[in-house]
Formats: sequence, structure tokens, C-alpha cells
Amino acid sequence: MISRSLERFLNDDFELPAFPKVVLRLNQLLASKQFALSEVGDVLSRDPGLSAKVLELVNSSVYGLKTRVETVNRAVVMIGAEQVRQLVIATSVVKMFKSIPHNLIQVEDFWKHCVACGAIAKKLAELQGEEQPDRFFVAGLLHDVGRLILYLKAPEKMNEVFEKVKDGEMLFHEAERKVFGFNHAEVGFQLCRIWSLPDFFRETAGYHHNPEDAFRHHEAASLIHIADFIANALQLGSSGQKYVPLLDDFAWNRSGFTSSIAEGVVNESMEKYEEAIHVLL
Amino acid sequence: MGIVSLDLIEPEMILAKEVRDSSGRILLGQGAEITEKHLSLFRRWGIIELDIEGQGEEIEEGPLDPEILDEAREKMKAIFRHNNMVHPFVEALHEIVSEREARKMMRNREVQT
Repeated sequence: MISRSLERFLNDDFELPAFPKVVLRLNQLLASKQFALSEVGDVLSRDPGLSAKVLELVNSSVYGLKTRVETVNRAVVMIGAEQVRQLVIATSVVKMFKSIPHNLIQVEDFWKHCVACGAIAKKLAELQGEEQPDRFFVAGLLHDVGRLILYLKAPEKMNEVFEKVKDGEMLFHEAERKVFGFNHAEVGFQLCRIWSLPDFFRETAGYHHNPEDAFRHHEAASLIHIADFIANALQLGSSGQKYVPLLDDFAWNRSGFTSSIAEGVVNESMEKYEEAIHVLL
Repeated sequence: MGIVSLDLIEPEMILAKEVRDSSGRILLGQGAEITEKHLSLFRRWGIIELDIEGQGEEIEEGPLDPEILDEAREKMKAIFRHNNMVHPFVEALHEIVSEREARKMMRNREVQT
């Protein structure tokens, strides 16, 4: 399921930045299936910086809890151990890749786009009555992470991609495929696998441009597609794409949304977006 | 609050949102009164705009200038060039972003005059 060119690209001597120790410990702990919720809090509190960010996010309008959460132990009880792990991973990914200077993009703008996509995705998930809307915030944060790796690992080739999309004829992910033989979504899928994130995140990152081709999570990939579409239209930050990607018919029909949701979604996601970039960037 | 280009900022204006450098460190906090010294430091640090109290507030609420709105609609059409503009959701979103753009254009023009 992985093309040879992509496999070569990922195996190359480029080293992915390492996750903080806390992430590895959380992965081990949760994989053991036998753990007390307090153990999750204990592991997380060994990293005060990450703990503070998780608490700030959980207390922000992104999570919209009714009571203030003062400790990480309480956060684990309120939103769940697996949700805390996902949030810790996404927060660490942003942090690991935040201060990397790059001549093709502003990394901060890149993350703004991803935060916008996450805030909008969560709102869309709430509208659909999703049981766990929080994971859509994380999925939005991570949806374009493959593109960041393309920028960091292959800046010359990304420059070629920029040349190809300059006149506006070709969309960014199509140009990536022409230049690399694969696109950022496929890289994102593989990264989520390497980071042992659940298949939900692999598929939302991997199929946000073609939700129809997902294995199991067609609805979720469709929802991230629509959130990405809205975030691009609002031009909140940018992952490099100047034009709004084509709204996919499959995704739109599958979502069951009507055009009347547009205004409410935009207005209600803005506060979440502002607060989340304040915490994360 | 409203985003104002650094060139147009005068001492005694009040900061509506803190200023951060590229690594996220706060340079000047929300609510601070801006001085000449701040302005020259910001210039040196490459800060190009600030969020200032009381700027452009009436524009956030007030009616849109129809001519500016048309200009914004035309401008925003360009970013949707890969999309079918008669799709109802694309159309709705195009209108929303055009209104946002029109308010931005009105703010910029107000600051310049």
C-alpha cells in the first residue's frame, strides 16, 4: 500500500525529530491496557511544559468544558486517557516543528492553517452529532503534517512544486504528485503510522483530498476535507496553497451538510481558532 | 480592536493584543500604552503591524460599502478558481470571505485617511 518512491523518501537519511520522552511513556502505558488513570497524569506531569499546554487547551473554548480543570490528573478524567495522549502527540508535533526557519514558508503560518482546520473540523463534528468531536481538532492539526516533512526534507523539490502551481493551473497536492510521485497526504498517513496514532488519524491525514478512497473512515476524512476547504477559503495561515482546493462531491454528499451551515461554522470556529493559536504558537 | 500597520501607529495608542517575536516571546503586553521607544524597537525587530484598541470597531459592525463589497467579491473569486462557483456551499463561503475581505479593505482605507 506504500509506493516505492514514498518508501525510499521515508527511509532516506533524514531523521524525524524525536518525540519528548513523555510521549513514548504514554504510548507504552496506554498500549499495556492495564493502567490507572492517575498513572497517565503522573507520566504527563513529568513534563511541566507539555502539561501546561494540555491544561491550557483543555480549559480553552476548543474543549469548552463547563468547569475549570486545574491538574493533569483531572484532565485525564475529564477528557479520557487516549484523548490526552492524542492531544499530547499533536501538541508535541507542533512544538517540534515550530521554530524551524524555512525560506519557502513561514512555519507559523503553516500551523495557523492546521489549527484553523482543527477548530473548524471540531465544529463540523459537533454539528454531525459525533460522539468524540475532540479528536477532530487533533485530526485537523495533523492533516497536513506530511507537507511539513516535504518542506524540511526536500526544499529544492518543493521549490519545483511552487513553480508548477505559480500560474494557478494546478493544485498544490497534484503538483506534489507530479514532482515526488506521491503527495503530502500519503506522507501524512505514513507519519501517523510511524507515530502509532490510531487508523482514524492515518486516514484523516491520508485521505483528506480523496475521502472516497479511505479504508474505513470515509465520514471523518470527508469532514476534514470540508474543514480544510473552509480553512483555505478563510486564508487563516497557509500551508503553501494559494487557491482553495476543489470541493470534493463525495465528501460534500457524504457529510449531509447544507450550505446554510457556512456562516455559523465560520463564526463559531473563530474563537476556538484564536485561543488555540495563542496556546500552541 | 483592529490591525494597524506600524507606520500609522502613534504614541499613546493602546495595544489590544500582546506583541510576540517569532519565537513566541511576549515583547509588549496587552493594554500597554505605546511609546516612541517601543515603535523604534518594533521597527528594528521587523514587526509590521499591531492590534490597537478602538480601531475600526464601527467597521466590524456597520454596513458594508456596496462598491467595496463588489470589489472584494471579484478579488475573492480568484482563490476559488478550481471550484464550481454555482455549488451552493462554494457560493455561501465565497460570500462570507468576500464580506470579511471587504471589512478588511474598509479598515485599511479608514486608517489611511
